[in-house]
Amino acid sequence: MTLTEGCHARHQLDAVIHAPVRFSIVAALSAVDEAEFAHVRDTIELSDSVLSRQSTHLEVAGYVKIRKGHVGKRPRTWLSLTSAGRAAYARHLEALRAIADSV
Amino acid sequence: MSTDHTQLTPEQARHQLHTIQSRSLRFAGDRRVYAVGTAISGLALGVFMAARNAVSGTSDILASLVFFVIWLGAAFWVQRATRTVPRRTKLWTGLGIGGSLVVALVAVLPWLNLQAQTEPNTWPMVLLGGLVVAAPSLFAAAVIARGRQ
Repeated sequence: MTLTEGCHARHQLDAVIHAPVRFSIVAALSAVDEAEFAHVRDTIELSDSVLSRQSTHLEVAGYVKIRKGHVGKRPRTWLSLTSAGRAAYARHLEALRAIADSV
Repeated sequence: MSTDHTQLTPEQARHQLHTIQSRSLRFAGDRRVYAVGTAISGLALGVFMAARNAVSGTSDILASLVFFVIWLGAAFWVQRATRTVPRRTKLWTGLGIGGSLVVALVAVLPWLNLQAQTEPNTWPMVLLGGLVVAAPSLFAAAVIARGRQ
């Protein structure tokens, strides 16, 4: 569990998703069932190594699934959010909106 | 930007929300590819079923061959041409093509076979059957194409 205790919206933020790069990855994947590694890399403007490292971090947390396959003879890696990842992202987004709306 | 989530200010939260909107994955093109692939698969199934009722012998084998080439070609093309799977796209594709198969096996083919026992099937009947078979896939293709970016 990555939530900290407390009533304020900031305590509902997910510590795994909160890191800017991981937040961008999860946000990008939230709109699709699955996306090609290279497409995510190009969209979020990351290097292969950074995306690979952060995706693995999210996979260990149970938020992202990494699938390797081939299209023709070319190897391809696909990323997708797990149901736990979608739920965590929804909670995180809700907390962010609450903080953004607070004065 | 600080990554300490307990110190996030409203301004930083607004900035983060703005950032994710400007960096969302583009998949409108992929959605169109899935829609076209689903429509082609459904239409191919409808035409195949109609052709099998209208031809026999070598033509029947040729129709089967053409059908499988189109089906496999469509599946391969979709896989090659897309970089994302937009939300619920595969679900709708499965429902559409599965629906076409069910309609063909449960309704249209038994109806055409029953009709053929009394008199030969006419082209309008066969074409109507083909359209009915393709309908679920065409509906699914329309749903996929109209999905949100």
